Amino acid sequence: MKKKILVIEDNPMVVKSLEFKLLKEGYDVATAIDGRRAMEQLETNSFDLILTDLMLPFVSGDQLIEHIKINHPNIPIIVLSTSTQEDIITNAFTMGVDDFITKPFSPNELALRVKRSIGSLKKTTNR
Amino acid sequence: MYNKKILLVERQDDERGILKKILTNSSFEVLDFSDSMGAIQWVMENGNPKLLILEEFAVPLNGWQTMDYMRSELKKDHPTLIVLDADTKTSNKKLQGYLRKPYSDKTLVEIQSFLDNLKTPDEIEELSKAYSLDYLIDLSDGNKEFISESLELFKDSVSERITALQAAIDQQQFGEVRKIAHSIKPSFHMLLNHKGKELCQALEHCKIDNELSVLVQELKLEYELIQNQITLDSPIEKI
Repeated sequence: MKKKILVIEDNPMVVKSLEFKLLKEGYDVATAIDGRRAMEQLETNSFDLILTDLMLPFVSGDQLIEHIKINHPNIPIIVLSTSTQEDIITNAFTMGVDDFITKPFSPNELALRVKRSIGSLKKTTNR
Repeated sequence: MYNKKILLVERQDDERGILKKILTNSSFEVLDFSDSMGAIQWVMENGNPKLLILEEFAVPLNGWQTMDYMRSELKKDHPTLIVLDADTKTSNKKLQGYLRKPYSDKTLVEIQSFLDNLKTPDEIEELSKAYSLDYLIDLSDGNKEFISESLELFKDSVSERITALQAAIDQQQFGEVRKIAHSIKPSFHMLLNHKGKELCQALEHCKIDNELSVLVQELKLEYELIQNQITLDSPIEKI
C-alpha cells in the first residue's frame, strides 16, 4: 500500500513541484494551502508523513506543530523552510519536528529525506 | 536558438537604416531607436539583448551615460559597442569595443568579431536571461507539461500576490507584506531569478516600513521582466 504524505504549503509552484516529485516516487499526496485545511485533512485521513511550511495563513507554524504533536504524535514532520529562517527552524526542532528541507528543494534530497522519515515511522510503530 | 537581438541607438535616420539593414541581412534582430530613452525603456520592459550599439552622442543620455545607466540602475551588464565620434580617442577605460561611421559591411565584420571574442554563445545567453528553466527541468526530467504548468502558475499566482502586496502596502498592513513576500520568494528562486528572490528577502526583513513600497515596485518590474522574456522566448518549444 502506498504511503500517504500531507503537504502543507501556500506557494502553488512549490506545491506542484512537491506533488510531481512525490507522486513520481510512488507516494500518495494530499495538499493543504493553510493550517486550518491541514487540520481538517488530519481529522479525516491518516498520513505517514507531513511536509509543512512554517509561515502559513490562519494558523502559525508553532500552533500547527503543537496540534500535530498532541493529536498525531506518530506522524513524522519535515519542515519546509527558507534559508533565512534559522531561528524558526531551531524552534521547530525543539518542538519535535524530525527534519527540514530548504525551499526550493533539491529533488534527490527530498526523495532521501522523505524515505528516511517514513522509515523512522515504521520503526516506531512496529515497536 | 541564441539571442540574436541587437539594440541600436543612432540619431540619424539614414545611418540607422543602413546599419539595421546590414545586421538584419546577417540574421540579427535589430531594435532601433533614435534616442537612448527608447532603448532603456525597451530593456526595462522586454529583457536583455545580445548587444547594445550606442552612438557616443546619443540623446538625451549619451552613449556612455546610457551604458552606465543600464549597469548601475538596471543591473544589466550587456556587451556594448560605442559608436565613436571621429575625434574621440579609443583609450577610454570603459570602452569594451567601438565602431566608427559611416556604417558599411566592414562594420558587420567588426561586430561579429567583437561578439566572437566575448564568451561562448551559451554564456552570453545565460548572462542575458531574466530566468532559467534549469531547476524545473532537473526536477521533472524535462517534463514539458509540468514545466508549462509551472510557468502558468508563476504568471498567475505571482501576479495575484503582487496585487495583494500593493493592497497591503496601501492599507499599511506591513506584517502582511512580509508574509506575502515570504510566500512568493520560492517562485522567483525556482526560476533562478536572483533579483526577485533578494527583493522578496528584503521585503521580509526590511525594518523601515516606508521602504517597502519601493521594494514592491521593484519586484513588480522584475516580475514583468521575467514574463516578457518568457513570452519572447517561448521556452517550452526549445526543451
